[in-house]
Amino acid sequence: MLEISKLEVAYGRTQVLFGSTLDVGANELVALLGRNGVGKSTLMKATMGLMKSFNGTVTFEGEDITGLSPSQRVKRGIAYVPQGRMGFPQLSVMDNMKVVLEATSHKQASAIDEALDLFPRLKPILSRDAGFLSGGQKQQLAIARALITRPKLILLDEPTEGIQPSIIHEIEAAIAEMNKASGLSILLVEQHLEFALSIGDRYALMEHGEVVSSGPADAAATATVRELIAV
Amino acid sequence: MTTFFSQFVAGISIGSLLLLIALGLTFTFGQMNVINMAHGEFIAAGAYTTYVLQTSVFAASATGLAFVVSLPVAFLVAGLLGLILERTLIHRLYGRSLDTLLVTWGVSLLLQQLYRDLFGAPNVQVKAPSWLEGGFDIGSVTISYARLFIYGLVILSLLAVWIFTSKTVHGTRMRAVVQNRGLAEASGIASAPVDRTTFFIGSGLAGIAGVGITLLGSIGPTLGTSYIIDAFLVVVCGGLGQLRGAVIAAFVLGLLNSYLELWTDASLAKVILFALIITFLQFRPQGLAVQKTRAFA
Ligand SMILES: Nc1ncnc2c1ncn2[C@@H]1O[C@H](COP(=O)(O)OP(=O)(O)O)[C@@H](O)[C@H]1O
Ligand SMILES: [Mg+2]
Repeated sequence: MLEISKLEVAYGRTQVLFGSTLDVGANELVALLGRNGVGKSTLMKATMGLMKSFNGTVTFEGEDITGLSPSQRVKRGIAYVPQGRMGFPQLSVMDNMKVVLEATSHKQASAIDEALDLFPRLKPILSRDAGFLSGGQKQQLAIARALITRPKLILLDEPTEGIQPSIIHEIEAAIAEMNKASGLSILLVEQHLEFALSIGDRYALMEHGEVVSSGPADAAATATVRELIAV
Repeated sequence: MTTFFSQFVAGISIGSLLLLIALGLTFTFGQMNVINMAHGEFIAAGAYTTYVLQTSVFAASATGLAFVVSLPVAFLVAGLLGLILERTLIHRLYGRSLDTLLVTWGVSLLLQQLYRDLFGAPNVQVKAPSWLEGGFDIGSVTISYARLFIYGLVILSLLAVWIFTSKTVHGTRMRAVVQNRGLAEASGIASAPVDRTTFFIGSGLAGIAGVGITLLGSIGPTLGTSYIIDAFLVVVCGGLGQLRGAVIAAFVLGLLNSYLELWTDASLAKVILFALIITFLQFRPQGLAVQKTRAFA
Protein backbone atom coordinates (compact mmCIF):
# COMPACT_ATOMS: atom_id res chain seq x y z
CA MET A 1 0.00 0.00 0.00
CA LEU A 2 2.73 2.46 1.02
CA GLU A 3 6.18 2.06 -0.45
CA ILE A 4 8.97 4.37 0.57
CA SER A 5 12.02 3.85 -1.58
CA LYS A 6 15.56 5.15 -1.03
CA LEU A 7 14.38 8.44 0.47
CA GLU A 8 17.06 11.07 1.09
CA VAL A 9 16.15 14.14 3.11
CA ALA A 10 18.12 17.00 4.65
CA TYR A 11 17.51 19.88 7.05
CA GLY A 12 19.38 22.62 5.27
CA ARG A 13 22.83 21.14 4.65
CA THR A 14 22.50 18.40 7.25
CA GLN A 15 21.39 15.18 5.60
CA VAL A 16 19.22 13.10 7.91
CA LEU A 17 17.81 10.31 5.74
CA PHE A 18 20.30 8.35 3.67
CA GLY A 19 18.12 6.25 1.42
CA SER A 20 15.40 4.92 3.71
CA THR A 21 13.28 2.13 2.31
CA LEU A 22 10.12 0.86 3.96
CA ASP A 23 6.73 -0.48 3.04
CA VAL A 24 3.40 -0.89 4.77
CA GLY A 25 0.81 -3.34 3.43
CA ALA A 26 -2.98 -3.14 3.54
CA ASN A 27 -4.38 -3.66 7.06
CA GLU A 28 -0.85 -3.94 8.33
CA LEU A 29 0.62 -2.32 11.44
CA VAL A 30 4.32 -1.66 11.11
CA ALA A 31 6.25 -0.60 14.19
CA LEU A 32 9.06 1.78 13.24
CA LEU A 33 11.77 1.42 15.86
CA GLY A 34 15.04 3.14 16.52
CA ARG A 35 16.89 5.35 18.96
CA ASN A 36 16.21 9.04 19.34
CA GLY A 37 17.53 11.08 16.48
CA VAL A 38 17.86 8.32 13.87
CA GLY A 39 15.27 9.97 11.61
CA LYS A 40 11.93 8.30 12.35
CA SER A 41 10.01 11.57 12.57
CA THR A 42 11.81 12.91 9.53
CA LEU A 43 10.80 9.82 7.57
CA MET A 44 7.17 10.45 8.52
CA LYS A 45 7.38 14.13 7.58
CA ALA A 46 8.84 13.20 4.22
CA THR A 47 6.16 10.56 3.69
CA MET A 48 3.58 13.24 4.38
CA GLY A 49 5.26 15.74 2.04
CA LEU A 50 6.09 18.16 4.83
CA MET A 51 9.75 17.77 3.94
CA LYS A 52 11.04 17.55 0.40
CA SER A 53 13.20 14.60 -0.48
CA PHE A 54 16.00 15.20 -2.95
CA ASN A 55 16.16 11.53 -3.87
CA GLY A 56 13.86 8.56 -3.69
CA THR A 57 10.14 8.04 -4.10
CA VAL A 58 6.99 7.59 -2.09
CA THR A 59 4.31 5.42 -3.69
CA PHE A 60 0.80 5.02 -2.33
CA GLU A 61 -1.61 2.46 -3.77
CA GLY A 62 0.51 2.25 -6.89
CA GLU A 63 0.61 6.01 -7.46
CA ASP A 64 3.85 7.96 -7.22
CA ILE A 65 3.00 10.71 -4.74
CA THR A 66 6.53 12.05 -4.25
CA GLY A 67 5.65 15.40 -5.80
CA LEU A 68 2.30 15.91 -4.07
CA SER A 69 1.62 18.48 -1.35
CA PRO A 70 0.67 17.26 2.14
CA SER A 71 -2.99 18.17 1.66
CA GLN A 72 -3.08 16.22 -1.62
CA ARG A 73 -1.66 13.20 0.19
CA VAL A 74 -4.39 13.50 2.80
CA LYS A 75 -6.92 13.40 -0.07
CA ARG A 76 -5.32 10.14 -1.27
CA GLY A 77 -5.98 8.58 2.15
CA ILE A 78 -2.94 9.18 4.32
CA ALA A 79 -3.33 10.75 7.75
CA TYR A 80 -0.60 11.94 10.08
CA VAL A 81 -0.41 12.46 13.82
CA PRO A 82 2.84 14.31 14.42
CA GLN A 83 5.03 13.92 17.46
CA GLY A 84 4.31 16.40 20.25
CA ARG A 85 0.49 16.44 20.48
CA MET A 86 0.04 19.26 18.04
CA GLY A 87 -3.23 21.00 17.42
CA PHE A 88 -4.80 24.35 16.68
CA PRO A 89 -4.55 25.74 20.22
CA GLN A 90 -6.90 28.67 19.81
CA LEU A 91 -9.69 26.74 18.16
CA SER A 92 -12.20 24.82 20.25
CA VAL A 93 -12.02 21.03 20.30
CA MET A 94 -15.06 20.94 18.02
CA ASP A 95 -13.61 23.50 15.60
CA ASN A 96 -10.36 21.52 15.52
CA MET A 97 -12.37 18.64 14.13
CA LYS A 98 -14.79 20.64 11.99
CA VAL A 99 -12.06 22.55 10.20
CA VAL A 100 -10.56 19.22 9.17
CA LEU A 101 -13.91 17.73 8.21
CA GLU A 102 -14.75 20.66 5.96
CA ALA A 103 -11.54 20.17 4.04
CA THR A 104 -12.29 16.50 3.28
CA SER A 105 -14.06 15.42 0.13
CA HIS A 106 -16.54 13.17 1.98
CA LYS A 107 -17.74 15.89 4.44
CA GLN A 108 -19.70 13.32 6.48
CA ALA A 109 -20.39 14.68 9.95
CA SER A 110 -20.66 11.07 11.16
CA ALA A 111 -16.85 10.96 10.94
CA ILE A 112 -16.73 13.29 13.96
CA ASP A 113 -19.21 11.12 15.90
CA GLU A 114 -17.18 8.00 15.19
CA ALA A 115 -13.98 9.69 16.33
CA LEU A 116 -15.74 10.81 19.51
CA ASP A 117 -16.97 7.29 20.15
CA LEU A 118 -13.37 6.14 20.05
CA PHE A 119 -12.33 8.96 22.41
CA PRO A 120 -15.35 9.67 24.65
CA ARG A 121 -13.18 11.81 26.95
CA LEU A 122 -13.45 14.57 24.35
CA LYS A 123 -17.24 14.68 24.45
CA PRO A 124 -17.67 16.90 27.54
CA ILE A 125 -14.99 19.39 26.44
CA LEU A 126 -16.02 20.14 22.86
CA SER A 127 -16.23 23.89 23.39
CA ARG A 128 -12.93 24.24 25.23
CA ASP A 129 -9.95 25.72 23.40
CA ALA A 130 -7.55 22.94 22.42
CA GLY A 131 -4.63 24.82 23.97
CA PHE A 132 -6.13 24.26 27.42
CA LEU A 133 -6.39 20.47 27.20
CA SER A 134 -4.22 18.01 29.12
CA GLY A 135 -1.53 16.14 27.22
CA GLY A 136 -3.65 13.01 26.95
CA GLN A 137 -6.67 14.93 25.71
CA LYS A 138 -4.54 16.77 23.15
CA GLN A 139 -3.21 13.49 21.83
CA GLN A 140 -6.68 11.98 21.62
CA LEU A 141 -7.85 15.06 19.75
CA ALA A 142 -4.89 14.76 17.40
CA ILE A 143 -5.77 11.15 16.55
CA ALA A 144 -9.46 12.06 16.25
CA ARG A 145 -8.59 14.80 13.76
CA ALA A 146 -6.60 12.34 11.69
CA LEU A 147 -9.44 9.79 11.67
CA ILE A 148 -11.97 12.38 10.50
CA THR A 149 -10.30 12.41 7.08
CA ARG A 150 -11.29 8.71 6.84
CA PRO A 151 -7.76 7.60 5.98
CA LYS A 152 -6.59 4.25 4.67
CA LEU A 153 -3.20 4.66 6.27
CA ILE A 154 -2.30 6.56 9.38
CA LEU A 155 1.17 7.64 10.50
CA LEU A 156 1.41 7.81 14.30
CA ASP A 157 4.54 9.44 15.69
CA GLU A 158 5.06 8.53 19.37
CA PRO A 159 1.40 8.81 20.35
CA THR A 160 1.98 7.88 24.01
CA GLU A 161 5.09 9.99 24.61
CA GLY A 162 4.80 12.00 27.83
CA ILE A 163 1.23 10.98 28.55
CA GLN A 164 -0.15 9.87 31.92
CA PRO A 165 -0.34 6.04 32.21
CA SER A 166 -4.11 5.83 32.59
CA ILE A 167 -4.63 7.50 29.23
CA ILE A 168 -1.83 5.58 27.55
CA HIS A 169 -3.99 2.46 27.85
CA GLU A 170 -6.91 4.20 26.18
CA ILE A 171 -4.73 5.37 23.32
CA GLU A 172 -3.24 1.91 22.90
CA ALA A 173 -6.70 0.38 22.87
CA ALA A 174 -7.79 2.91 20.25
CA ILE A 175 -4.78 2.09 18.07
CA ALA A 176 -5.59 -1.62 18.31
CA GLU A 177 -9.21 -0.95 17.43
CA MET A 178 -8.30 1.24 14.45
CA ASN A 179 -6.07 -1.48 13.07
CA LYS A 180 -7.84 -4.70 14.05
CA ALA A 181 -11.50 -3.65 13.89
CA SER A 182 -11.42 -0.93 11.23
CA GLY A 183 -8.66 -2.43 9.11
CA LEU A 184 -6.62 0.75 8.96
CA SER A 185 -2.97 0.43 7.95
CA ILE A 186 -0.72 2.00 10.55
CA LEU A 187 2.90 3.07 10.64
CA LEU A 188 3.66 3.50 14.32
CA VAL A 189 6.69 5.04 16.00
CA GLU A 190 6.58 3.98 19.63
CA GLN A 191 9.20 3.90 22.36
CA HIS A 192 7.10 1.53 24.43
CA LEU A 193 8.57 -1.61 22.89
CA GLU A 194 6.35 -4.26 24.51
CA PHE A 195 3.24 -2.57 23.18
CA ALA A 196 4.65 -1.83 19.73
CA LEU A 197 5.76 -5.39 19.19
CA SER A 198 2.66 -6.98 20.67
CA ILE A 199 0.34 -5.04 18.40
CA GLY A 200 2.62 -4.78 15.36
CA ASP A 201 2.56 -7.21 12.46
CA ARG A 202 6.04 -6.23 11.43
CA TYR A 203 8.84 -4.09 12.71
CA ALA A 204 11.31 -1.90 10.87
CA LEU A 205 14.45 -0.77 12.61
CA MET A 206 16.13 2.51 11.74
CA GLU A 207 19.67 3.54 12.38
CA HIS A 208 21.32 6.72 11.20
CA GLY A 209 18.79 7.58 8.51
CA GLU A 210 18.36 4.09 7.10
CA VAL A 211 16.08 1.15 7.74
CA VAL A 212 18.65 -1.50 8.68
CA SER A 213 16.41 -4.44 9.35
CA SER A 214 12.79 -5.44 9.24
CA GLY A 215 10.71 -8.52 9.69
CA PRO A 216 7.83 -10.07 11.60
CA ALA A 217 7.22 -8.35 14.92
CA ASP A 218 8.02 -11.41 17.01
CA ALA A 219 11.47 -11.61 15.44
CA ALA A 220 12.21 -8.16 16.85
CA ALA A 221 11.98 -9.53 20.36
CA THR A 222 15.43 -11.03 19.92
CA ALA A 223 18.31 -9.72 21.92
CA THR A 224 20.15 -8.11 18.99
CA VAL A 225 17.25 -5.93 17.95
CA ARG A 226 16.54 -5.01 21.55
CA GLU A 227 20.12 -3.99 22.00
CA LEU A 228 19.99 -1.77 18.93
CA ILE A 229 16.89 -0.05 20.21
CA ALA A 230 17.95 0.42 23.81
CA VAL A 231 18.54 4.08 24.53
CA MET B 1 -13.24 71.29 29.77
CA THR B 2 -14.45 72.20 26.31
CA THR B 3 -11.01 71.77 24.75
CA PHE B 4 -10.65 68.52 26.64
CA PHE B 5 -13.87 67.29 25.07
CA SER B 6 -13.13 68.60 21.60
CA GLN B 7 -9.70 66.94 21.67
CA PHE B 8 -11.42 63.76 22.81
CA VAL B 9 -13.69 63.85 19.78
CA ALA B 10 -10.71 64.59 17.55
CA GLY B 11 -8.81 61.68 19.10
CA ILE B 12 -11.69 59.28 18.55
CA SER B 13 -11.85 60.43 14.94
CA ILE B 14 -8.13 59.83 14.40
CA GLY B 15 -8.47 56.49 16.18
CA SER B 16 -11.37 55.30 14.07
CA LEU B 17 -9.57 56.22 10.88
CA LEU B 18 -6.43 54.44 12.09
CA LEU B 19 -8.50 51.40 12.92
CA LEU B 20 -10.21 51.42 9.54
CA ILE B 21 -6.80 51.43 7.85
CA ALA B 22 -5.24 48.94 10.26
CA LEU B 23 -8.09 46.46 9.89
CA GLY B 24 -6.79 45.27 6.52
CA LEU B 25 -3.31 44.95 7.98
CA THR B 26 -4.56 42.67 10.76
CA PHE B 27 -5.05 40.17 7.94
CA THR B 28 -1.99 40.56 5.73
CA PHE B 29 0.47 41.61 8.43
CA GLY B 30 -1.19 40.28 11.57
CA GLN B 31 -2.27 36.89 10.28
CA MET B 32 0.23 36.26 7.50
CA ASN B 33 3.24 38.25 8.74
CA VAL B 34 3.61 39.92 5.37
CA ILE B 35 4.83 43.51 5.47
CA ASN B 36 3.07 44.83 2.40
CA MET B 37 4.36 48.33 1.69
CA ALA B 38 1.85 48.64 -1.16
CA HIS B 39 -1.06 48.49 1.30
CA GLY B 40 -1.16 52.29 1.26
CA GLU B 41 -1.57 52.26 -2.52
CA PHE B 42 -4.48 49.84 -2.13
CA ILE B 43 -6.05 52.51 0.06
CA ALA B 44 -5.45 55.03 -2.73
CA ALA B 45 -6.98 52.53 -5.18
CA GLY B 46 -10.16 52.56 -3.10
CA ALA B 47 -10.19 56.34 -3.04
CA TYR B 48 -9.65 56.60 -6.81
CA THR B 49 -12.39 54.03 -7.35
CA THR B 50 -14.81 56.44 -5.70
CA TYR B 51 -13.46 59.24 -7.88
CA VAL B 52 -13.82 57.25 -11.09
CA LEU B 53 -17.34 56.08 -10.29
CA GLN B 54 -18.35 59.65 -9.49
CA THR B 55 -16.78 61.34 -12.50
CA SER B 56 -17.07 58.72 -15.25
CA VAL B 57 -19.75 56.17 -14.39
CA PHE B 58 -22.54 57.85 -12.50
CA ALA B 59 -24.34 61.07 -13.44
CA ALA B 60 -23.33 64.25 -11.62
CA SER B 61 -26.68 64.23 -9.86
CA ALA B 62 -26.01 60.80 -8.37
CA THR B 63 -22.93 61.49 -6.21
CA GLY B 64 -24.61 59.88 -3.22
CA LEU B 65 -25.38 56.67 -5.08
CA ALA B 66 -21.90 56.62 -6.62
CA PHE B 67 -20.42 56.92 -3.17
CA VAL B 68 -22.42 54.02 -1.75
CA VAL B 69 -21.70 51.81 -4.75
CA SER B 70 -18.01 52.62 -4.49
CA LEU B 71 -17.78 50.78 -1.14
CA PRO B 72 -18.20 47.25 -2.54
CA VAL B 73 -16.46 48.14 -5.81
CA ALA B 74 -13.44 49.56 -3.96
CA PHE B 75 -13.31 46.39 -1.87
CA LEU B 76 -13.18 44.32 -5.06
CA VAL B 77 -10.67 46.55 -6.85
CA ALA B 78 -8.24 46.70 -3.93
CA GLY B 79 -8.86 43.03 -3.14
CA LEU B 80 -8.02 42.03 -6.71
CA LEU B 81 -4.87 44.16 -6.67
CA GLY B 82 -3.89 42.30 -3.50
CA LEU B 83 -4.71 38.95 -5.03
CA ILE B 84 -2.56 39.69 -8.09
CA LEU B 85 0.30 40.82 -5.86
CA GLU B 86 0.02 37.68 -3.71
CA ARG B 87 -0.12 35.35 -6.70
CA THR B 88 2.69 36.95 -8.68
CA LEU B 89 5.18 37.95 -6.00
CA ILE B 90 4.38 37.53 -2.33
CA HIS B 91 3.59 33.81 -2.33
CA ARG B 92 7.13 33.14 -3.49
CA LEU B 93 8.49 35.13 -0.57
CA TYR B 94 6.65 33.76 2.47
CA GLY B 95 8.99 33.68 5.45
CA ARG B 96 11.36 36.18 3.82
CA SER B 97 10.18 39.42 5.41
CA LEU B 98 12.97 41.66 4.17
CA ASP B 99 12.59 40.55 0.56
CA THR B 100 8.84 41.01 0.79
CA LEU B 101 9.30 44.49 2.21
CA LEU B 102 11.64 45.55 -0.60
CA VAL B 103 9.56 44.01 -3.36
CA THR B 104 6.29 45.51 -2.15
CA TRP B 105 7.98 48.86 -1.68
CA GLY B 106 8.86 48.71 -5.37
CA VAL B 107 5.27 47.82 -6.20
CA SER B 108 4.13 50.75 -4.09
CA LEU B 109 6.26 53.17 -6.14
CA LEU B 110 5.02 51.60 -9.37
CA LEU B 111 1.40 52.02 -8.35
CA GLN B 112 1.98 55.65 -7.34
CA GLN B 113 3.39 56.30 -10.81
CA LEU B 114 0.45 54.50 -12.37
CA TYR B 115 -1.95 56.78 -10.47
CA ARG B 116 0.00 59.84 -11.68
CA ASP B 117 -0.29 58.63 -15.26
CA LEU B 118 -3.98 57.87 -14.95
CA PHE B 119 -5.25 60.70 -12.79
CA GLY B 120 -2.46 63.32 -12.88
CA ALA B 121 -0.03 64.34 -10.17
CA PRO B 122 -2.21 67.00 -8.49
CA ASN B 123 -4.80 65.97 -5.97
CA VAL B 124 -8.37 65.44 -7.10
CA GLN B 125 -11.53 66.09 -5.15
CA VAL B 126 -14.24 63.54 -4.46
CA LYS B 127 -17.61 65.09 -3.76
CA ALA B 128 -19.21 63.96 -0.54
CA PRO B 129 -22.86 62.90 -0.90
CA SER B 130 -25.22 65.74 -0.02
CA TRP B 131 -26.62 63.76 2.92
CA LEU B 132 -23.18 63.80 4.51
CA GLU B 133 -22.85 67.59 4.39
CA GLY B 134 -23.10 69.50 7.62
CA GLY B 135 -23.06 68.13 11.11
CA PHE B 136 -24.47 68.48 14.57
CA ASP B 137 -23.34 70.06 17.80
CA ILE B 138 -22.65 68.52 21.16
CA GLY B 139 -22.07 71.50 23.42
CA SER B 140 -19.52 73.60 21.59
CA VAL B 141 -18.13 70.73 19.54
CA THR B 142 -19.39 70.10 16.04
CA ILE B 143 -19.33 66.56 14.73
CA SER B 144 -19.67 66.41 10.97
CA TYR B 145 -21.86 63.77 9.37
CA ALA B 146 -18.82 62.68 7.38
CA ARG B 147 -17.04 61.81 10.64
CA LEU B 148 -20.12 60.05 11.86
CA PHE B 149 -20.19 58.03 8.65
CA ILE B 150 -16.58 56.98 9.21
CA TYR B 151 -17.45 55.84 12.74
CA GLY B 152 -20.28 53.76 11.30
CA LEU B 153 -18.03 52.37 8.58
CA VAL B 154 -15.46 51.31 11.18
CA ILE B 155 -18.07 49.61 13.34
CA LEU B 156 -19.58 47.77 10.37
CA SER B 157 -16.18 46.69 9.06
CA LEU B 158 -15.16 45.46 12.51
CA LEU B 159 -18.37 43.50 12.81
CA ALA B 160 -17.90 41.96 9.37
CA VAL B 161 -14.31 41.01 10.14
CA TRP B 162 -15.31 39.49 13.47
CA ILE B 163 -18.11 37.45 11.92
CA PHE B 164 -15.85 36.31 9.10
CA THR B 165 -13.00 35.18 11.32
CA SER B 166 -14.93 33.59 14.15
CA LYS B 167 -18.15 32.35 12.55
CA THR B 168 -17.42 31.22 9.00
CA VAL B 169 -15.74 28.13 7.61
CA HIS B 170 -13.22 30.29 5.77
CA GLY B 171 -12.42 32.20 8.94
CA THR B 172 -11.85 29.05 10.97
CA ARG B 173 -9.68 27.67 8.20
CA MET B 174 -7.67 30.88 8.15
CA ARG B 175 -7.10 30.70 11.89
CA ALA B 176 -6.08 27.05 11.67
CA VAL B 177 -3.49 27.86 8.99
CA VAL B 178 -2.17 30.78 11.04
CA GLN B 179 -1.94 28.71 14.22
CA ASN B 180 -0.13 25.79 12.63
CA ARG B 181 0.49 25.91 8.92
CA GLY B 182 2.24 22.54 8.66
CA LEU B 183 -0.40 20.74 10.67
CA ALA B 184 -3.18 22.35 8.64
CA GLU B 185 -1.58 21.12 5.39
CA ALA B 186 -1.01 17.68 6.89
CA SER B 187 -4.68 17.61 7.94
CA GLY B 188 -5.84 18.15 4.38
CA ILE B 189 -6.31 21.92 4.47
CA ALA B 190 -4.58 23.31 1.39
CA SER B 191 -2.98 26.51 2.62
CA ALA B 192 -2.49 28.32 -0.71
CA PRO B 193 -6.22 29.07 -1.27
CA VAL B 194 -6.49 30.16 2.37
CA ASP B 195 -3.58 32.56 1.88
CA ARG B 196 -5.22 33.96 -1.23
CA THR B 197 -8.51 34.58 0.57
CA THR B 198 -6.77 36.16 3.55
CA PHE B 199 -4.78 38.46 1.31
CA PHE B 200 -7.81 39.34 -0.80
CA ILE B 201 -9.84 40.36 2.24
CA GLY B 202 -7.01 42.29 3.89
CA SER B 203 -6.38 44.24 0.69
CA GLY B 204 -10.09 44.74 0.06
CA LEU B 205 -10.43 46.35 3.48
CA ALA B 206 -7.77 48.86 2.42
CA GLY B 207 -10.07 49.79 -0.45
CA ILE B 208 -12.94 50.41 1.98
CA ALA B 209 -10.67 52.63 4.07
CA GLY B 210 -9.80 54.54 0.90
CA VAL B 211 -13.47 55.31 0.27
CA GLY B 212 -13.80 56.61 3.84
CA ILE B 213 -10.76 58.84 3.43
CA THR B 214 -12.28 60.64 0.43
CA LEU B 215 -14.65 62.28 2.92
CA LEU B 216 -11.76 64.00 4.70
CA GLY B 217 -10.16 65.90 1.85
CA SER B 218 -8.72 65.71 -1.64
CA ILE B 219 -6.91 62.56 -2.76
CA GLY B 220 -3.59 62.09 -4.53
CA PRO B 221 -1.19 59.37 -5.71
CA THR B 222 0.64 59.24 -2.36
CA LEU B 223 -2.50 59.28 -0.26
CA GLY B 224 -1.74 55.96 1.39
CA THR B 225 1.83 56.67 2.47
CA SER B 226 0.77 59.24 5.04
CA TYR B 227 -1.36 56.69 6.90
CA ILE B 228 0.44 53.44 6.46
CA ILE B 229 3.18 53.70 9.10
CA ASP B 230 0.67 54.63 11.79
CA ALA B 231 -1.49 51.69 10.78
CA PHE B 232 1.43 49.26 11.03
CA LEU B 233 2.14 50.65 14.48
CA VAL B 234 -1.45 50.00 15.51
CA VAL B 235 -1.12 46.35 14.51
CA VAL B 236 2.25 45.95 16.24
CA CYS B 237 1.06 47.62 19.46
CA GLY B 238 -2.17 45.68 19.44
CA GLY B 239 -0.36 42.38 19.15
CA LEU B 240 -0.08 40.62 15.81
CA GLY B 241 -3.35 39.11 14.66
CA GLN B 242 -5.24 40.33 17.70
CA LEU B 243 -8.37 42.17 16.65
CA ARG B 244 -9.21 43.40 20.13
CA GLY B 245 -5.66 44.63 20.64
CA ALA B 246 -5.81 46.57 17.38
CA VAL B 247 -9.04 48.28 18.42
CA ILE B 248 -7.58 49.38 21.74
CA ALA B 249 -4.28 50.43 20.20
CA ALA B 250 -5.96 52.51 17.49
CA PHE B 251 -7.99 54.54 19.97
CA VAL B 252 -5.18 54.91 22.50
CA LEU B 253 -2.87 56.17 19.75
CA GLY B 254 -5.58 58.44 18.35
CA LEU B 255 -6.32 60.00 21.74
CA LEU B 256 -2.65 60.32 22.69
CA ASN B 257 -1.98 62.00 19.38
CA SER B 258 -4.83 64.42 19.86
CA TYR B 259 -3.96 65.38 23.45
CA LEU B 260 -0.24 65.67 22.73
CA GLU B 261 -1.04 68.07 19.92
CA LEU B 262 -2.96 70.18 22.38
CA TRP B 263 0.05 70.37 24.59
CA THR B 264 2.71 70.86 21.94
CA ASP B 265 2.81 71.21 18.13
CA ALA B 266 1.88 68.49 15.68
CA SER B 267 5.33 67.33 14.62
CA LEU B 268 6.71 67.23 18.15
CA ALA B 269 3.56 65.33 19.21
CA LYS B 270 4.44 62.75 16.58
CA VAL B 271 7.98 62.41 17.88
CA ILE B 272 6.77 61.97 21.45
CA LEU B 273 4.22 59.41 20.30
CA PHE B 274 6.89 57.36 18.51
CA ALA B 275 9.08 57.50 21.61
CA LEU B 276 6.18 56.27 23.74
CA ILE B 277 5.47 53.42 21.34
CA ILE B 278 9.10 52.32 21.25
CA THR B 279 9.23 52.36 25.04
CA PHE B 280 5.99 50.40 25.23
CA LEU B 281 7.28 47.77 22.81
CA GLN B 282 10.48 47.43 24.84
CA PHE B 283 8.37 46.25 27.75
CA ARG B 284 5.73 44.37 25.77
CA PRO B 285 7.15 43.22 22.45
CA GLN B 286 4.12 40.98 21.98
CA GLY B 287 1.82 44.01 22.08
CA LEU B 288 -1.27 44.69 24.14
CA ALA B 289 -3.20 41.53 23.58
CA VAL B 290 -2.93 38.72 26.09
CA GLN B 291 -1.95 35.66 24.15
CA LYS B 292 -3.64 33.10 26.36
CA THR B 293 -7.10 34.25 25.43
CA ARG B 294 -8.68 33.28 22.17
CA ALA B 295 -6.85 34.96 19.32
CA PHE B 296 -8.52 37.21 16.81
CA ALA B 297 -11.88 37.55 18.46
N1 LIG C 1 13.99 20.98 12.40
C1 LIG C 1 15.20 20.40 12.38
N2 LIG C 1 16.28 21.09 11.96
C2 LIG C 1 17.49 20.52 11.93
N3 LIG C 1 17.75 19.27 12.30
C3 LIG C 1 16.71 18.52 12.74
C4 LIG C 1 15.38 19.05 12.80
N4 LIG C 1 14.56 18.10 13.26
C5 LIG C 1 15.33 17.01 13.48
N5 LIG C 1 16.62 17.26 13.16
C6 LIG C 1 17.73 16.31 13.25
O1 LIG C 1 17.47 15.24 12.38
C7 LIG C 1 17.82 14.03 12.98
C8 LIG C 1 16.63 13.09 12.98
O2 LIG C 1 15.60 13.63 13.78
P1 LIG C 1 14.19 12.94 13.94
O3 LIG C 1 13.68 12.56 12.61
O4 LIG C 1 13.35 13.84 14.76
O5 LIG C 1 14.59 11.65 14.77
P2 LIG C 1 13.67 10.66 15.60
O6 LIG C 1 12.25 10.97 15.32
O7 LIG C 1 14.07 9.31 15.15
O8 LIG C 1 14.03 10.87 17.05
C9 LIG C 1 18.32 14.34 14.38
O9 LIG C 1 19.72 14.36 14.34
C10 LIG C 1 17.82 15.73 14.64
O10 LIG C 1 18.72 16.43 15.44
MG1 LIG D 1 10.76 11.63 16.61
